[in-house]
Amino acid sequence: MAHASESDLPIISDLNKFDFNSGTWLEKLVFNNRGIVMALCGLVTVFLGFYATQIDLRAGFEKTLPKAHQYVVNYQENRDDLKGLGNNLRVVVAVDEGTLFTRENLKFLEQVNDAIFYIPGVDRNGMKSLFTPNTRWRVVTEQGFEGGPVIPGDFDGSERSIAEVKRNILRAGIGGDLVANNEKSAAIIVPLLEINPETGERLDYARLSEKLEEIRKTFTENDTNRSIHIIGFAKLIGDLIDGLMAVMGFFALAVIIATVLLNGYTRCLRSTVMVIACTLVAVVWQLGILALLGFELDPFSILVPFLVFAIGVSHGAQKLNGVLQDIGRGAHPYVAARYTFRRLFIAGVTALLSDGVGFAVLMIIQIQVIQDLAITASIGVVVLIFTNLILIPIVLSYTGVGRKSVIRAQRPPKSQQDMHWLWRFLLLFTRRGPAAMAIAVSVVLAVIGLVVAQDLQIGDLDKGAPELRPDSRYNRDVAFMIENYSVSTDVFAVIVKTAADGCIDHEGLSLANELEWRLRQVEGVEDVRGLNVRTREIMMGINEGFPKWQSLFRNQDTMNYAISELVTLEYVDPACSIWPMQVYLADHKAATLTRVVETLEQFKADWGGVDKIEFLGAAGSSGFEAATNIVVKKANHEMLFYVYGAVIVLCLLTFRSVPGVVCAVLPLMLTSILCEALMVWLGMGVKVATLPVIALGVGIGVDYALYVLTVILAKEKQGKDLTTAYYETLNFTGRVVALIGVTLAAGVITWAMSPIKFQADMGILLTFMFIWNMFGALILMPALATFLVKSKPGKAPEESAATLVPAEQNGR
Amino acid sequence: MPHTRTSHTRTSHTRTSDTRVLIGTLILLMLAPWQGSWAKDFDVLNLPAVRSEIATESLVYSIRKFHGRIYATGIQGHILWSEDDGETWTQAQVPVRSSILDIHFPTPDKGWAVGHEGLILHSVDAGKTWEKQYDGLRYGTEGLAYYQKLALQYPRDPYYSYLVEEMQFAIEQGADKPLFKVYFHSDTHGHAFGAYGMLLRTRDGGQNWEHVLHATENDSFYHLFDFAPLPEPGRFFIAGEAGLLMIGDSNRRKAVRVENVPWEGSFFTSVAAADGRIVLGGLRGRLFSTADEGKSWSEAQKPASSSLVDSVRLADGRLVFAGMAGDLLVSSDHGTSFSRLPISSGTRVYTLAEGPSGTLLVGGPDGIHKLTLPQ
Repeated sequence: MAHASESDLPIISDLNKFDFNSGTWLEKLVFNNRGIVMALCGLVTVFLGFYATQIDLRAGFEKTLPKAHQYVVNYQENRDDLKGLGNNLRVVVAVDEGTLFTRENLKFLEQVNDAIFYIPGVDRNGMKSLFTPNTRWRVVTEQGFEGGPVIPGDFDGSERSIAEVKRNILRAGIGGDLVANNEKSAAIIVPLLEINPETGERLDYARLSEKLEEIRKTFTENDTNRSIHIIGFAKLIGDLIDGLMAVMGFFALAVIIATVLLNGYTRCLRSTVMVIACTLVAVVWQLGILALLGFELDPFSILVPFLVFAIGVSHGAQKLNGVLQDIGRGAHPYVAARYTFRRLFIAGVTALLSDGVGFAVLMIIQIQVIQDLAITASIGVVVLIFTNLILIPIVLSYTGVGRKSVIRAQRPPKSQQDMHWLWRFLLLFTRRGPAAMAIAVSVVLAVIGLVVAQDLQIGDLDKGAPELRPDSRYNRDVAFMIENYSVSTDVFAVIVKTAADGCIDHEGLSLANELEWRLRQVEGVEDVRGLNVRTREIMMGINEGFPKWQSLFRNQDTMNYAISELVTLEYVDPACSIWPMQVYLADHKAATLTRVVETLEQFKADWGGVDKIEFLGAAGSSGFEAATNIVVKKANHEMLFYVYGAVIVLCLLTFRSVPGVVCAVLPLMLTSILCEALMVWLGMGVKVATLPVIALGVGIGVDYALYVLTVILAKEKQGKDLTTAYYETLNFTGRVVALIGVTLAAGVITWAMSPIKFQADMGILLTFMFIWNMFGALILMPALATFLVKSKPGKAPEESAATLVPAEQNGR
Repeated sequence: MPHTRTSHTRTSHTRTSDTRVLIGTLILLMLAPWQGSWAKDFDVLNLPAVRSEIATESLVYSIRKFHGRIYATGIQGHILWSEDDGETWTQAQVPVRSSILDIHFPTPDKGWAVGHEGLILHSVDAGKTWEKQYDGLRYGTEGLAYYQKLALQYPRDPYYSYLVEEMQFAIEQGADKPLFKVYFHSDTHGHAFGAYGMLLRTRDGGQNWEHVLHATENDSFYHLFDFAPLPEPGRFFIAGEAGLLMIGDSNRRKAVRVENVPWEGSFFTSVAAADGRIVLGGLRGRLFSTADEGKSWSEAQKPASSSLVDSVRLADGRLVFAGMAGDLLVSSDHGTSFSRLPISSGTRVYTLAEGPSGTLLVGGPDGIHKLTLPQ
């Protein structure tokens, strides 16, 4: 039958007796020139290793946007003209006890203000706080306007001048904006320059963030009463880059865990280290290739080396297992390595390709980070073919394995009764009763899972920046801002466009009022700001501040005057043709975003016919999230369809048996369902980060089926009953399957500690899928086979244990 | 008289066919705001107000109490009424989405409301439903015809040709002038006035709105902000922009300027005290009162405050003035002196009215708030 029998691979302990011309052309090419191959690999490692160190870290948000969605297209087309969505930081100086309005506390605010002023990248003229000269008060008088700076020129910190400052704050109307209404804190608005006009350099977010932390530390480290809170896109990116650094540290941990596990299995440190080293070579190659191709490491793609490492170790473990068994039976290390290569190369390629299918399916999602993840992971898989399928056997052909582990491997396989209780327990599931039980439990689990998964939400569900954990410093600062200032970080910006000079048109602004009004009715909308809102206020201001003028009345002269002021304040671009209507939301839950999107689209359906003005979705963090949710929701179904389609085809080709496909795919589906239920329980929504998890989980999970089911099916075809077939399978590959499960999980479980929330989410879900898929393969799959796969009687049962991991050559 | 003919046909049409109006409104409700391709022009004068959950939390321009009901007017064509002293509010059916600035009910059922776009609305069912009686587009065309006729009649009087020019300008500007105030002396006889000297009168319950600009001494067309009745029947006090104060007399059909002005700033609000004195509040918190129709004035003793934009006389005779920054001033001596009330809605205040037993209802940019008056 298909698997190699002893006659195919005679045990040869003397290398001189070995036929060097046996095996495939690839085997001959690789093994007969193993010195050269080793040297080449060394050279490539040095070369790519050099480039790997050059790889850039980036945490931009643009790549997480669904680039094909109309909202994102609209944003990209108009981003240069959109004012008022600038790259701002908001720094708040707060006191815990008493008020900010004491001589010392105001002095403190001024010092922080000055320290920020000197940070490179800060747009110093645009900075706004109590202590910047552009913060002025103004009142209407019978003669016209009267005004001055909020902090008067003769400010001396006396009670009298503090009272004056308080009065000016009231007159300037900056309460709730620059000064909290409870008088315990004040804000510094810090606009940033993307390009430094002096040096022409791009803003370095990591350095900026570092400087801000320095300021926070110097000013508040030994001060329990005062605190500094910082929010803004630049700070978020800075914190993400910090998170990336932390995650890189986890890699070392993943390596240690994998080494311990593998060593525990082989009991041979030498070969364990070799396997780990070769896998690390794969990671180096992969990083080097990425750097060469111009890829950067972002919070998503930084996870690929972990995956590559985990997959590599699991394949390395099988190679090691093969070599170990052959040496155990007396073969020369070289011969053992070569036999292992001969037996496992095609199987390994197939398994890796099936992983690749999981990654490749991700390419259909029109989100750059996911596509990058797909490409980088695919590169990693290709690299693994070289390092782990070719290099590991060659290295092992030199080093062999330790004596102790050889002795262990020489022990004859135990009979069914002598096996470890765990294996005996697993064997139960080849009997009808327990198998039916297992299937019944699975069905119950699936039903529960499906019911729970009904509540699966789209999008991010926590408050604050979704990239970071809810209790991170940044998100605590966000919560502080929301509590004390009328600002929300969840902004959905409608892009309002007219012809040049068209922003002053009354009908256009009336339509904007209509949209604003509809949006205000929407549950979850806190406030709407924009040119039309400010125009109404300024039109009142121009008319002596009499409230009955606060309306968009049809006096063109008044409107022109109001809007010319607003051009100066950058509420609209200088060409008077484009401005953002900013919708402030209470949260960024998918339901809230959907309501906003539906309102906007309904408005466009009703009034899109007025061609002098266009209302385009959407910019702002919530605009992007809304677009992402729409794409993710659609992709979630598509992706499941394609990934299962691909896996089914792959299984059909491998097993050439429909029951086999059913046995392989149903456990995966159960895992997918339970994964969704787990997401509901853990409060995770379907988002950019969790989308790849199911594809990866299924793509990698099918490996188990390939290992276990091929062997079972092969044995069955030999006419063995299922229990015997499964017994033999467990003997030869079962332990490896368990090893694969834990090594894969070891690779990703460290992510759970990541300060970047979505990485943690991915880590938890992937760990769950890898482990659960393992149980699926070891329990549910044989249980299903009990009922679905009919053994073909007639052939003589073959009880020989001489064949090792035999089925991989079968049907592949 | 072309303008009277048009207004006749218009009003008789709306009067005699209530069901058709209803059906028309329903069709409008169904079609107008949702049929973009059909209704190409967006004009708040042609679009009915939409029921809104947040109407009581949105900008309110005035809160007034008539015949035991409290009314509030606001943006987006909001007219709200409450029969339980402001506890619960119901939104009226209004055929426009303009900003509604003031409201008056001379009888429990008949009422008028005015607003931006020179709008006048009328209700005969205590404010549940409203129909449009007048808008600013008519102001220019009807005024032009009217003053052209008068200019022909009195060729020697240059003021009529001056007003003809003003009306031509008004036509060019479109419906840009708000009516700030409406007051009905009876259920047929009323005045509406507003920006740029706009002053209209009706003697037939609004079937015709006549121009009376020529009968006012306001040839600079200053804004007219508020109205207060004088003790002598038919006489009233008008407060306006830049120190414009006038005494109106319905019987003599004239508004005569007060020559002795205490201050040349804008007076946004006026109230008649229990002793017949008129108390005026305005820009930068200035407060004056007169007991003799403006022959002499006294400035109130008061703490510093923001611009005073509305005022009310409480049932017990106390006067309360609202500063737009949210500060409230109270006087127990008919406006001679004021002190600050220690209560606040925490936001700007645009209007106020007396609420149930010892409370104030204040309105502003974020809707209606109830404040408890200190005893």
